[in-house]
Formats: sequence, structure tokens, C-alpha cells
Amino acid sequence: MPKTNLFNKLKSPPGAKDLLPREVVLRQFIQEQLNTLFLFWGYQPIHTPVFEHYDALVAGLGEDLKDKIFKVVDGHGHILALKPDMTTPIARVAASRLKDEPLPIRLSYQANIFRYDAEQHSHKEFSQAGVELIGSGTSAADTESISLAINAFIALGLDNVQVVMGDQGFLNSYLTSLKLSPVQIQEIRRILAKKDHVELADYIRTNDLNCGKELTGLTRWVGKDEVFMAARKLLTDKEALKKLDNLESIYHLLSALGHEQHIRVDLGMSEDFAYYTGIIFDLYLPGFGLRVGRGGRYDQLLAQYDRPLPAVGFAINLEYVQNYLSKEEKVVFELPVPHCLVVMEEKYRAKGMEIAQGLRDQLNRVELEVLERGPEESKSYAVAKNIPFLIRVGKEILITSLDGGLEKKIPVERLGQIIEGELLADDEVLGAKDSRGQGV
Amino acid sequence: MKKKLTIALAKGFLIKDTIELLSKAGIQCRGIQNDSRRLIFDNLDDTYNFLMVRPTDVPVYVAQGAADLGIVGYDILLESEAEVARLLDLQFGYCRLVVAAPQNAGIASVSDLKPFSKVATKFVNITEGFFQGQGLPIEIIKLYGSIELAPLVGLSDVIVDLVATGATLKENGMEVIAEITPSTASLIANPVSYHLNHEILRELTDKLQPLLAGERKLSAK
Repeated sequence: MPKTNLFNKLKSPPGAKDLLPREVVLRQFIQEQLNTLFLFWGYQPIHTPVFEHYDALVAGLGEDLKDKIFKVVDGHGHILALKPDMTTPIARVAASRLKDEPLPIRLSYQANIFRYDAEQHSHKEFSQAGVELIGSGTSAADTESISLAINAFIALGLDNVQVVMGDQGFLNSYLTSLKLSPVQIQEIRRILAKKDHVELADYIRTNDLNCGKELTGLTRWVGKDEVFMAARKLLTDKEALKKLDNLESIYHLLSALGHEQHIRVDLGMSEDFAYYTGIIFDLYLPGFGLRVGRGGRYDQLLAQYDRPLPAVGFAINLEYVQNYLSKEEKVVFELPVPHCLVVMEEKYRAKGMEIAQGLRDQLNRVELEVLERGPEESKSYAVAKNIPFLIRVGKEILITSLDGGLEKKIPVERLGQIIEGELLADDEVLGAKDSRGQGV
Repeated sequence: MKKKLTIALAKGFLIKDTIELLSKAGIQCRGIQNDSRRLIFDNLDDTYNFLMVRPTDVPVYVAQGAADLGIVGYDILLESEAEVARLLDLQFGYCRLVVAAPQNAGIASVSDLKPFSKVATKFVNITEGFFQGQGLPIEIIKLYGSIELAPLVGLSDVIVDLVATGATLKENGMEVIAEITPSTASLIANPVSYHLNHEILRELTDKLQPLLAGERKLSAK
């Protein structure tokens, strides 16, 4: 019985993950890189609470996300939700506290969101970083969004990032121009979102559609810029052509910016629900089997909060990116271990702590020995923790370099320099016996 | 240098036809034997890696990116709800997913089923989806094998199972009362590979398409 209780106390709920120091440090590196980059592009950080009113959230969300929301009931019986993304809360804030801000509004975020993970059969906490550009419906804004997404990955050392672009507006216009009914268009979009070429062919056959070639084209117009020419051969509708031209100009502008190797097109790219209204793009890393980010234009969302404004943005899945970075060893970073361990004799405790603080003021990381154990044990501890120096404070100050150096007596003012890597002169190799009050 | 792709193959009754089709497409698998304990193979041109995997695991390998491609029955694919692209119906391994009832139980069609009837099946998601579409609430009993046994011992009223010739059903005194969907071997792709290896995949599907056995069998809707 006792064993089971212990297990329950140590267990975390499914989807809840602790991050140990090494992981946190990598996470902080990622966040810092992205924060700095976003600021350079004019995006300012925003924070919203974990809890939202379920009703308020659902007003803006697509069908797909509704079912995946983690719901809770508060003390008053109101249904709250743990936010499943940042886009809807940001829309809510843009429509309220930011309503007098000059347009466009550029906001960035790093946040934990909560969604149902079908594979794990439970809700999961995800960490996301992203941006929203609110108030501009132009292709300049679309281009900025994609370009920023690419730069975000490059800033993390991931210059192999791939962006696949499509356009929901183009798709809608194209499907409408084929004289398909709204129900048929919805079905076809659902099938395209699943990338099920077989089901598409079936649908064309069972519904006896005469635009089979035009629909199948959507599964073939995948690749680089040759796609645009291929699609034009079957396009007659003015609206659809206009949107295709727009997408092509974004592609060319991104190429001109030097991003050609990062971008691809998929004209059949579709969202299963009506969230996105224009450009959509998925972010991938070669060798990683899951999508690491997604973005797009969503011009109808803010209208749900009574502030009709166009908007475009993207979100990056930091769990996946972090996972990729640690596996691929693409980032070399330092887990900040202490530079030295200070061991003090009882009578010299005050002096020891003063020396430690002096070293910290020189920007060294200092750990104090707080266990009552012998010098050999302290040394083992320091070695196990990769702490490079051990300092013993007694009548004299002795420093040992733990990668095999001997213990050396050192004047206090030189401690900082030694820790920072200055080598000791040969004549300072002395045992404790030989020391004669050399400045303490 | 052409990139080497990984294909997850479903062990069992699809293997023979799979290897035959790949061979016709010029992809000679080296040394695959169904009963061998080896799980990774390659082909003569060294352009593909093959993974021998349990059928239910194929969509998982592909969705997670451990394999770029997979060949697996549509029944398994549909049940898994995996996020993968389905590129081709390979037109072999033809079976049907059906609702079947004991012959003398007075159940000639789905409309004869009472609400909250018990349905034994391996295919929980497909069954749930089908009966939801019928507007009939049912109780699902998840089993892993020999599903036809369930109604015979009173564990369930009907079953949802995969049927090839129908011989097993008949032998157990059961008959098909509704067809849910036909199922054939499908070629699936990881969504990331779908884009990043698009040209190679296009080449492969273009090579396979003319080699396929027959007409795509659609369900009687």
C-alpha cells in the first residue's frame, strides 16, 4: 500500500512536464533570441492570463480547436478555459484595452497553452512563441510575417527551416469558380486538409463532378515557383487569378530577400475550418516529423470581438524546437554551473562569506559549502558538479583547480583573476606548509 | 545524391503483394522474409529503407516521421486517425469493413438494432463514427481478435469487423447487414516528407499508378 501512495505523490498529470535546469537554460536561450528578434521587427511583448471565459474564447475559435479546449468550472459555476492559443486572447485585448492604439498593432508573446493531444489521450501543456500583426490587410504584412518566421528559426541556428505557403482565399475563390455548392466546397476543403488524394478522387467520382482535373490539380500544385505557371493553365476565374498573383508576388519578394531555399508552395493547402482567410503557412524542420509552427491571415477573428480588423501572425511550438535543438546539438550553450565552491573553517565563516560576495561582485558564480563534511568530500561534490575551482578559507586562502591542479595559496585580490582563467606562475606552486602570511 | 526514403511496411497478409508491386516499380527489396526477425531492410539501388512493422503501428511511424512513407490497409489507417497524407490506393488487399449479425437473430439491417445494442469490434473509432452517422447510440466492446466469437457467446449483439471473402463469417453463422467502407492497401506519407521530398514522392506515385491492378472499388453509397 505505502508504495502506491508514494508513486502518486511523485507523479505528474499526463501532459504536464517538469523542466530541469539544463532544459530551462536552453528554453531561456530560445526565448531570449526570439524576444530580441521580435523587438527588432517592432513587435512588443504581451501577456494574457491562463484562464479565459469559455464563451468568450469560443466566439473566435475554429471548430477544430473547440473540442480540444481544457475546460474548468470556477467557484461560481462559470465555465472557464485554459487558453488553447494566444491569437484569440490577443484579439480580445486588441478589441478592448488596446482599442485606442494607433494601427497597426504589433504584438509578440511566449506563452504556455493547453490543448487536447489525441495521441496521449490527455490535455497537454505546450509552450509557444509567436507574433500578431493587427490592422493591416496588405501582402506587405503577409510577407513580413513569413519573413519574420524564417528569421526566427535562423536566429536559433536553424537555417534549414522550411515554410510551405498556401492561400485559403485563393482556394475558396477557386472552388467557388468551379460552380461547387457550399456544402461541396466544405467537404473538399476537409479532404484537402487531410491531404487524402484517394478520398478526393472518390468524391469527384461519386458526386460525378466535371471539374475533376481542376480539383486534382490542387494535389499536384506543390513545389517551388513552377507551381504558379502550372496552376495558371487551368485558372480562368479573375478572383482566383488575382489571389494567385498575390501569392506569387509574396513568393518572389521572399526570394529576393534571400529566402528562396526556405520557401515552398502548396496550392491545395487547406484548413479544415474557417479560421484562416488568406495566406497560410506551415513551418517544418527537415528530419523532424511534426509541424513546428503555423501561421496565416485571419481577417474575420477580431470582428467576433466587435473590432473588425485584418490580422496576420504565426506561432512556433517551442517544445518541438527545443527537442530538435537538443537532439541535433545545433546550439552549444553553457549550463551555468558555479565557478567555484567556497569551503570555510568555522572561525572564518564571516571572512569566507565576504570573499564569496567579493567574487560575485566580479560576476563569478559562487557556491558556499553548507554541509559539514571533510575537504575530500567537498572536493568530490565539486568534481561531480563540474565546478572548476575549490577555495578553502581559513587562516590562509587556498585555491585548487579541480581538473588536476594542486592546492595553491593565493592572495585574496587575485582570486577573481584566477577563476577567470589567468594561469598561475610556476613559483606559486606551493604546499600549505610553505606559506608565510602572503597577504590575506 | 538522391535522398534515401524510409517506408514502413505492414507485416502479414499485405506483404507479398506489397513486395510484388514495389518490384514491378523497379524497387527490389533485399532479403525481406515475412517470418524473419530482422526488421530493417533496404533495396538493391540503396534508395529505400524498409521497416517491417505491425499493421496498426504503420500510421504511427509515418505520422511521427520515423518513416517517410507507409503501406497499410485503409481500415487500419482510418481507425488510427493519424495525421498523414494518403497518396494512392494500391488496389490490393481488398476487404470490407462491415457490420455483421448472427444469422437467426432477426437483425437484417442496422435499423433493426435497438439503441444501446452491444457492438464488439477492434475498430472503436470507425464503429463510433459509423453509428453516430446512423444516429444510433450503441455500447462498444473493444476486442483484439476473433471478433466473430462475441455474438455467439452473448458478449455482444453484433460486430464490426474486416471481411475478405466472408467465409469466416459464414462459418460462424453470421451475415453482413451493412457495409461501412471498403479497404485496400494505401500508400501514406508523413506530412513533412510530403513537402520536403515532394519530387521523389511524385516520381514514385507516377511510377506506381500505371502498375495498379484494377478499378478503385467504391463503397455502395
